[in-house]
Amino acid sequence: MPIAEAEARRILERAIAASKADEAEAWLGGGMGALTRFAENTIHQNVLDRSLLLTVRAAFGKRTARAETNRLDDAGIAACVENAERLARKAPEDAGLLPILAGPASYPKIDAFDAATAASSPEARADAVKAVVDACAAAGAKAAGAYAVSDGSVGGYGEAGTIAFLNAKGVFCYHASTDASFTVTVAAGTGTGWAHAESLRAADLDPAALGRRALAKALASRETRDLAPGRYTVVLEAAAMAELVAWYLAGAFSAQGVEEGRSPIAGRLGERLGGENVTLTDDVAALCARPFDEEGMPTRRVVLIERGVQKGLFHDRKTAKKVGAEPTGHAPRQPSGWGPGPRAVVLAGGAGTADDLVKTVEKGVLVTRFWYTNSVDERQGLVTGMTRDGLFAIEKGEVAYAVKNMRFNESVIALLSRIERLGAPVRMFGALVPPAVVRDFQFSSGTKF
Amino acid sequence: LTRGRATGTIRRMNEVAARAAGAAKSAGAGYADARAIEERWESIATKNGEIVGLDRTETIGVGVRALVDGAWGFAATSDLSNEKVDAAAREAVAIARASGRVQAAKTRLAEQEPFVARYETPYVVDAFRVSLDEKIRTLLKVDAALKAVKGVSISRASMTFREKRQFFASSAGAAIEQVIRWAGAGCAAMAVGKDDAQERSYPASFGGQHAAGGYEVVVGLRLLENAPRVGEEAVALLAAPQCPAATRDLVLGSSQVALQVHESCGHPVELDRVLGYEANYAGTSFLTLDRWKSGYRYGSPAVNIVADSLAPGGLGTFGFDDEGAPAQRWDLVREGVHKGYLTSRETAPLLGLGRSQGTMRASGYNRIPLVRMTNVSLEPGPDLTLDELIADTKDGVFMDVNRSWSIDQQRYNFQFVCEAGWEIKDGKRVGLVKNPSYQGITPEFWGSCDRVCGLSEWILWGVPNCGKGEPGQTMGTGHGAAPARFRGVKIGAAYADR
Repeated sequence: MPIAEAEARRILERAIAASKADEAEAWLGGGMGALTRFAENTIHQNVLDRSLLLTVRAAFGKRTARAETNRLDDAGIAACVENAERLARKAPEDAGLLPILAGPASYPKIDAFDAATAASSPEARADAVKAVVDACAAAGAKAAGAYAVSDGSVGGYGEAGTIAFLNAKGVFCYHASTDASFTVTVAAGTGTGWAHAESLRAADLDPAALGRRALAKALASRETRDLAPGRYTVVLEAAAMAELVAWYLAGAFSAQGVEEGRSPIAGRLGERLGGENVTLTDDVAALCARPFDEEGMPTRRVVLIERGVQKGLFHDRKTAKKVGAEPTGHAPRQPSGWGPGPRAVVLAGGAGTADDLVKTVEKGVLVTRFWYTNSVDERQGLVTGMTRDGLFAIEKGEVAYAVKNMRFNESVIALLSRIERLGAPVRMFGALVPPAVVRDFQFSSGTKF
Repeated sequence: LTRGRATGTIRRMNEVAARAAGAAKSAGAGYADARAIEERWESIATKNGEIVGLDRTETIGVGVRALVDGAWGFAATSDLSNEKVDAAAREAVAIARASGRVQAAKTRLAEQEPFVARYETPYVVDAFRVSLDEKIRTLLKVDAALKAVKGVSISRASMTFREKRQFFASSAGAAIEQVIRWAGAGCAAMAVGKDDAQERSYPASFGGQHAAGGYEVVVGLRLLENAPRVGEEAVALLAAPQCPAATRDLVLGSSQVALQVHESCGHPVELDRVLGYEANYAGTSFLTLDRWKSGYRYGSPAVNIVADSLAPGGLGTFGFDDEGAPAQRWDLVREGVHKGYLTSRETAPLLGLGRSQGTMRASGYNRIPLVRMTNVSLEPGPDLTLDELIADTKDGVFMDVNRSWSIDQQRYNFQFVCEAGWEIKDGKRVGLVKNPSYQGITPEFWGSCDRVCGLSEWILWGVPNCGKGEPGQTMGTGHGAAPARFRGVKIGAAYADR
């Protein structure tokens, strides 16, 4: 069970009450994170962490600073507040600093907590892993993967996120949630295959089915052929599409990035960016995500691209004030060097799975997922990365044979005009994104496996 | 911390670590260890003359690792009451028992003497005692000097400091206290044109240079003296021609060589990757055990790479790793031949090693130790400066300071983009080029390395943001490197066909 609303509020109230600053706001984050990890058909790492993190921002006029602690007794909270205030007094004035949000604000109630997931036991996770491992071992293959569950706001790198927020003007918000994911990579000889699923509820996951999918891909990848660098029609499974859309494309819609000229859509507001089939939104309700941002603002649904045309941007209160817009509830903790950003990315799709999309392609390449993607050129929207764990040639609507992995260099903006077809959206890496058929996708070099 | 408080805290933290390891043993662990850690961070960031981040983080907690009948469990808590510490230890044992349900092979650990010891990062000036006024004033001056260059749109400067007090105890009787201090700083200027944005960083990207030590690390970087040049180069890049797509000789600046070593040597010699433990996430390695046994040629005879956790000032420098194994130095690549790996107590026996080489590191109290790079460094070559190397190059490109990096999961195919490039003709830098990139296959690329600059050009760089593991961990690693030359490299491919 994550920290209850009343208890979270009590901790935050103690912090705000301890503050002598002109203004203060406080965040509480963290919770339980458990992860059962396996490799070589063995559970080799199996971890549990229960930690909460309190962050306090103090402001004296236009001077502000933050401090954090995971010591939530009276002395720990007092020391944290004292640190924030000591730093804030020394800080130079920030002309652009806004007063904290004045309440009251109301937030939609989003039910994102599943008690069974929060209570998931290491024995239950081990048994789920065992079923996958046994099936792979019987096929002469090796399984590796991770079964993760968390409650509260535990991030992938241990960042605490935010469960609850309170400011000195009485704005309070709280969001309890759970997350579960199962990922499996199967090796059969030199062939590898991968599958992943995630949900608010562990019960929604089907580890055995994911294991079967990864095993089938691994078996089909034992023999690979070379693929020449060049442009290909590709079927990007949801995992591949989600990296491009959620990690790179959506960030382009930050009002601050646009204003500073860093964004690939700077100078292109209101323009057509892609085909009629491209509608991109940010919608916390669709993903049961936290309905408020780091300033305590309710997070609105933002239409970023509607039928191919740029419509909206992410605003925090600072960027909104600058251009006379309304804040959208996508603020980071203030002050921030990088401004507002995406919170719950949704790319609208059609019907069907990646397998269904393969049937529509005469000649092309099926991409299971990408690996080590990175921005090459933010202004151009240029991204690179490798394919991994299942790259297949498509011929006459069928997977024909496996090919060696390839490096791509693509613009996530230019790609929007080359999306031929979209499948049904899938929850992937915290976003809701469909598999897609994209033409003229550029592979620039190959590798040895 | 005042001396009085520190003494009390140290006694308490030692007790917590020993209690956790003991409680896990009592609950049924064959072996257990625990790390009680008190940590503080301070970071300051400016942008366009304003403070955009002034943060102080203080955390405390204990993580306990239990080995039960050859299977691992781990639990961590930030509540250091006896009751919660004991509960975490029992949970680690219960989790280990659950792990035992899926065990194709039992974990066996190499012997390790239980050291009772203390290590502290040497430093000159305690960064946490330097006034905030001094730090802010320094950064704002650097920021202003960047912004003073006509054409600079965004100026940034930052400093980060970390102090970690760690108390390690094992059920075998180890009791090791370590105080690790890191300091880092850097600056960057971005120039924005109509359809282009170009950035230059100093002394490197990822927030600059990071090292073990105190505030003297920051002072030694001379940010202010370098800021005008950094700003001018960012502006000049907007007007510079695109780096051509071609096959050329490539000279890399030392920080880019450091990242090349990190990605294409440091990661593939992590023995956990080689053994498949990271197959689901970070990946595996082309440096397989059969290749190692047969004397695999990793690079040219000019290439010598060592792991060295004893090197002064590195982010991978310590007294003991997070399993209690002492710091060491050994060969990874000698005259181009693959010689060694990074090992742990669990993996060292597979190489026939009697002891771990001490590379197990955890990002914090709430994460397990993983096989990690310590300081993985390219040794300097014979006496040779960067200017002399360029003078010796007929037709090539010099690329400096990383902007983008990517490499496949076995660590063969890589692509790097640098912030700035200069074409070299007949031994002279003849012109700036923008968006310089290069691609290669690791053993072919290192096989093409014919010159490495000497000690006068060698810098022990700090990479503060190396990601690995599930749940994720971010670790600081050190990489000594000097500028080096590579023959016949594919350049410009990141932008080709656009």
